[in-house]
Amino acid sequence: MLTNQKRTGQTTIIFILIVIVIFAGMAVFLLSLAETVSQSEYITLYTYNLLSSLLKTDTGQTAFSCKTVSDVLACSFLTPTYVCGNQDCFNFADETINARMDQFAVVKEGFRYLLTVEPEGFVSLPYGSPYTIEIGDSSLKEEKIEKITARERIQKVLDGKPYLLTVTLTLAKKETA
Amino acid sequence: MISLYQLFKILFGLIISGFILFVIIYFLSSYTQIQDSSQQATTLKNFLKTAGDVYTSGNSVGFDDFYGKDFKLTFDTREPEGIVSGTGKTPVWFPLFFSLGDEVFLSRATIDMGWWEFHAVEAMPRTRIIFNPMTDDWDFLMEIVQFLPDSEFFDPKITFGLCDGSLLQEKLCGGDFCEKQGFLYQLSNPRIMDKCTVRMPDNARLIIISPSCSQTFSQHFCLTPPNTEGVGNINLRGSQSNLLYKDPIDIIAAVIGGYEKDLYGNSGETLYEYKNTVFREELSLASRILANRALIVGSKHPQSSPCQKAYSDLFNSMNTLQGILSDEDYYKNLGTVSSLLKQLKQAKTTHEELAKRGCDYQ
Amino acid sequence: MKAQMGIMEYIIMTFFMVVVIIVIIFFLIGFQVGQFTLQKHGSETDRALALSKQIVSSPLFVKEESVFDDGKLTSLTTLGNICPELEAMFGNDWFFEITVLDSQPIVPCTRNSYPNCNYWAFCVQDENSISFDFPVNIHRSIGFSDSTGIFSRTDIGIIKAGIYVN
Repeated sequence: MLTNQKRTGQTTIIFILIVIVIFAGMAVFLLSLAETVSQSEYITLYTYNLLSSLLKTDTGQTAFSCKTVSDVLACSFLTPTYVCGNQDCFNFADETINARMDQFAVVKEGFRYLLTVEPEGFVSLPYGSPYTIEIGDSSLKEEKIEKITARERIQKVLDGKPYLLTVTLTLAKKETA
Repeated sequence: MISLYQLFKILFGLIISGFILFVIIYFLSSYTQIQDSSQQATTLKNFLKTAGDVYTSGNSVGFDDFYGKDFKLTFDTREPEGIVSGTGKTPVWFPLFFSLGDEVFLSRATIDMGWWEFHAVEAMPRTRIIFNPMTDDWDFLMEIVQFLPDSEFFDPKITFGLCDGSLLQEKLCGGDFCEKQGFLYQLSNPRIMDKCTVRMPDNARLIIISPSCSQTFSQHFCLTPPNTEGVGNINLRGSQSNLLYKDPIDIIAAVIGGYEKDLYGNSGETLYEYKNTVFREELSLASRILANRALIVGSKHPQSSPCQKAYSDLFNSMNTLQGILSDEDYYKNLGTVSSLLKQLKQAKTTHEELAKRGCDYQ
Repeated sequence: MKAQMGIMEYIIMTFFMVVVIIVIIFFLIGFQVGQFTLQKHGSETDRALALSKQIVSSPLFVKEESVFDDGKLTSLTTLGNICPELEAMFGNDWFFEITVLDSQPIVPCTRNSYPNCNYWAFCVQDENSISFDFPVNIHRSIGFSDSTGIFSRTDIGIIKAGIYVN
C-alpha cells in the first residue's frame, strides 16, 4: 500500500513539473513573438519604400521614355526597340536596376531580390515585346521560403491609349552558409 | 470515531490550504493592479501609435481598445503636450484633437497652403454634429463640414444634422443619419433657420451660425460667418474669451474639445489655444526653412534668369510671415490674424508663380 | 512506524506543493519584470519606427512622401543649431541622416558645397541608438543644366532615423 502511495506522490510531482515546463515554454514563445511584430512591419515598409523609390529615380537620361526607372520599364514593353543611352530599353533597365540594388546591398546586406513587371489587361504588343520582365534572382519565384513582396502599378499612355503594368519586388533573406 | 492521524490530516490540510489561499489571493491582487496599469499603458500606447499612423498616412481608422476600460484621460496642452492618465503623462508629438469615448474615430484634417501643409489628427467618439444656420450663407457651413471626419465604412459614426427652431432634422439621408458626404449633398438648398430650441443629447454638438453671437447664444457653440478677410468669431459656452478663427481647424479644435471644464480651463478653448500654438511653431519653422531655401537655391540660378526674381519674392514673403508670427498671441488680435491670412495668400501666389515659371515644383 | 511514515509522506508532499506554488509565483514575477523590460525595448523600437514614418512624410523636409527636398534639407543644416527646435516638434533624443546613393564620396551639404553634395545629418550624437534604414528619393532642385536652363533630378538614397537609448 505504501508503494502505491509513493507512486501517486511521484506522479503528482512529475505532473507539476511538466506544467511548469509548459508555462516556461509558453513564456519564451510569447516573448519571441513580441520581437518579430516590429521587425515584420519594418521589413514590409522597407520593401515598399525600396520599390517606390526605385521606380521614381532618374536614370540620368533626359529623353521622355528613359527619364525614370518606371519610364524605362514601360518602354521595355511598349516601345522595346527604343534606345536609351546606347542600349535598348530592357537592357538599360536591367543595368540601371541592378546597379541601384547593388548599392543598397552595401547598406543592407543579406537580401536577394527579384523585380518582375507584368502587363495588366493586355498580352503583347509589336514583335519584340516581352510577356514579363524579370530582373534579379529568378529562382526566388519558385522557392518556398519566407518572402516579402511589394507591388506598384505604372500607367503609361501610348498613341492616346493607357497601358497598365504591375511591378512586383520580392525580397528574401540570403541563406547563411 | 476518527483517529488521531485522521484528525491531524484534516487540521494540517486546513492550515496549509488556508496559507496557500492567502498567498495566492495576496499575490493575485497586486498582480491584478500591475496588470491594470500595464493594460492602461498598453492601450494608450496603441492609441498613440494608431493616431501617429493616421497623422503620417492620412488614412482614417476606428479605435475601440478603450471599450470596457475605466479610463480617465485629459489632454494637457502645456509643453510638452501630452495625454495625462493613471500612468502619468505621455507626450504627443503631432497635433492631436482628442475627445474620449469607448470607441473613437481617427481622421486627419489638412490645411494646404501650397508651399506647406498643416496636418492634425481628429479623434472623436460617436458624435452627432447638429448645425443651426441662422444665415443663408451655407458655403461657410459646407467648408466646416469638409474638415470634419468622414466615418463612412467605419465605426464609430460621426453624423450630421440640422436644427430649425424646435425641429431636429437628423435622418436626412433616405431616412437614415447622414454621414459627411451624404450631408454635404443635402446642403443644396440654403435657407435661414430659426434659433434651435431642442435640448441636445449628450453625444451631440450644436453649432449655431449666426451674424451675431450675443449672450443669448451662450449654449454650445456659436460662430459668426467670416468677414471679407476670412476671419470670424467663435463663442463657446462657459468661456468669456472672444475666440477668432482664421481656418476651419480653429473651429474644429474648439468643437472637439467641447465646453466642459477640465483641469486646465474650458476644454474647447484649451484645444483651440493648443492648435494655434502648434500652428505658429510649425508655420514659423516652415517659413524660415523656405526663406533660407529660396536664398540657397535661388543663388544657383543665373542672375538673368526669371527664377532669381521669383525666389527673391518668395524670400521676402516668408520673411514678412515670420514677422507676423513673432507675436505669440498673434491669434488673439483681429489685425494680426487678418495680416496673417493676407500674407499666407500672398505666399501661396508667389510659390505658384515660381512653379509656373518652371523654377520649382508645385 | 507505518503511521509516522504516512505522516512524513503527507508533510513532504505538502511541502513540495508549497515550494512549487512559490516557484510559480516567483516565475510570474520574473516574467512580469521581463515583460516590462521587453515593453520598454518595444516602446523604444515603436518610437523609432513612428519617428521614421513621421520624418519621411513631414512637409518640413519632403516634397511628397518619401521624396526629400534637397533645398529644404540644406536650408535646415544651414540655419544654425536647429536641433532644439526640431526636438520641440518631434520629441527628444532622436536623429536622422540622409545619404544619396550615387557611388560618390560623402560630401555634407552646406551653403558652399550645395548642390554638389550628398549627405545631410540632424541631431547626430555618439550614443547608443535604435534606428531604421529606409530607401527614399531626394529631389535635387539643381539637378543638371544645359543651354536651355536648370532642371531638377530625382536621386535615390537612404535615410537612417532613430532614437538614442540608455
